[in-house]
Amino acid sequence: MRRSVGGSNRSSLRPGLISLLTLVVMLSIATAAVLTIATSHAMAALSNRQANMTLEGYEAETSAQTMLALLDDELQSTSSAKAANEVKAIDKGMKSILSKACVDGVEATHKVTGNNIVCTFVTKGGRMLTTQIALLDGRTYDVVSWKLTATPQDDSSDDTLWSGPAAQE
Amino acid sequence: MAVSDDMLTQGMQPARTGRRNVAFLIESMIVLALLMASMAVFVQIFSSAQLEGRSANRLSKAVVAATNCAETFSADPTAVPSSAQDGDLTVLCDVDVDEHEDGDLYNATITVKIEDEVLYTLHTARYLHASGGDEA
Repeated sequence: MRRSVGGSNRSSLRPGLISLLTLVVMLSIATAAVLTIATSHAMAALSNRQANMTLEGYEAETSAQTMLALLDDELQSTSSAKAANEVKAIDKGMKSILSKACVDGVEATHKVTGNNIVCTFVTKGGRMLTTQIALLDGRTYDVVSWKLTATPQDDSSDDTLWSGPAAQE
Repeated sequence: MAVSDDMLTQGMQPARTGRRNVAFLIESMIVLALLMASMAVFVQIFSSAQLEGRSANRLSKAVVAATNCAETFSADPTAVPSSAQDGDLTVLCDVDVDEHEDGDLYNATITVKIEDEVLYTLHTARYLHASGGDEA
């Protein structure tokens, strides 16, 4: 209780030491709780992202391996008389091969350059498997490259914090 | 009626002390109630965060175990064990063979479990040419 200047007794709200201490402790625990829940959410999001990316990588791998098997079938079924036009014939058949080979969620395209067939398998999450296959002598092939990469996603445009002084002019 | 200062101070002191004790008790009760309520909320938050973190950790371990099995399968699809133990995780690999004209396409379904709870499932494939030289 505090005595006022005028002499009358007026009670003012004065929290005690224990209340203040409790308030400080509760605020500290609340801060720790917010940080803990944010960290656990981030860990869960990171784990899910890792799981999805791994899954998509192997989806692309499955599609590419199936494509390889179907391409091998196509090469075996092609008669040696057609061998001269092998690449042209394979180029025509690649569309159906890729549509059969692709699992759900994987899109594939191909490009023929010389004796090489470059197939690209892209998943929804942005994983890209690029395979380059060289046709050797009509019935055999050689895998030149087999590269799995991650393509940048478009939804990261909002993450830009500062674009430099030129963007602000 | 004239009242001396001594009489006033002697009479007011116990009353003032009593009011202080009551105020302290009320304040303590309020603080205790708030403390209990806050602690209940915080315990829930911490326990849910711990559960979420534990499940995220399990998922990460399961992904690593499944990737290890997939790479073993990729190296040699005929030699991959159908069941393996990785710590407290059980890794199951179910392989089926799709025969082609000049080779075999091996399809694998890799499942990672912990105590009958499925954590992660992965599908992969591997084509083995009959000659064994042209596969990726």
